[in-house]
Amino acid sequence: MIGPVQAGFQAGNYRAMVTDGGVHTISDWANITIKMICEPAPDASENVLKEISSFKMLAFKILVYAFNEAKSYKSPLALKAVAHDAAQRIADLSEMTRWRHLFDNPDMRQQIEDLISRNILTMREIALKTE
Amino acid sequence: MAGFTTAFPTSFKGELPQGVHNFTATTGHDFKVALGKVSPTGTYGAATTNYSNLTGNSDETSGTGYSAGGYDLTAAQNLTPATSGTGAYWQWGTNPNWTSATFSTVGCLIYNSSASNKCVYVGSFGGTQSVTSGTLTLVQPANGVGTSLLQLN
Repeated sequence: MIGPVQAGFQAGNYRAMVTDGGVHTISDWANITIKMICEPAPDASENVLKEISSFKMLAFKILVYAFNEAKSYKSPLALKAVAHDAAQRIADLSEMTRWRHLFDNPDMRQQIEDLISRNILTMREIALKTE
Repeated sequence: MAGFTTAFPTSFKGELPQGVHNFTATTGHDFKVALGKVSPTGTYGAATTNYSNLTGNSDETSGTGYSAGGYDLTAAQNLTPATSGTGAYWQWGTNPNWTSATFSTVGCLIYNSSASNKCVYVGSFGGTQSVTSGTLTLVQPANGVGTSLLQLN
């Protein structure tokens, strides 16, 4: 028996990032970005959680470098290049992990690059508003 | 129960096939993100239809660094809806942010300021977000199936 077709309208969620007494730090940006790239499944095993934690620590360093580098550029093209490079390095980092197949997906790689790029551009926007 | 629940508004579902909203990058409509105050009197979710629902209940956030109406998402920030498999997804190219800010909020509405302020998204922050002389940024998820702010799957 064929059931009713589900319309499937869905709404995703923002993550609120708050910094009192100033603007977000480079670490804040790197931290929230990596959380959005690597979100463990609720039922992930202890071993998987350990692997994710190691991966996140290395990816965090890549992102800190990228957000720092982005501070010295102004042109949108240069900022996008920084995001592209960081996304590529994170994908390279996945080579030895069980998630390699996810990072091999071009759509996934593009989503990660766009996420980093958007966060870099927002960091720049905030800097321009507060300088 | 009063408060915010993340939802794709039902009225928006009906407006989509009527071509009320244009999310095309650069040439589409302008949108805005308005914040809701702590302990609102109204209920915001799938039944929310318009920004006026928020203002009518005096439930919009107020405080230093927040202007009534909210953050502008101009057409230049629209990301033209993309498709993958049998689904479509879209959001914006920037993260709404408020600087030198002192206020608290629990949720938000995104509405179309080019189309009579019709609501296209309701979001809950899962609790109170308070900022003091600082910066509040609403960071968008990855733009894709299963994650984007707005999806038709």
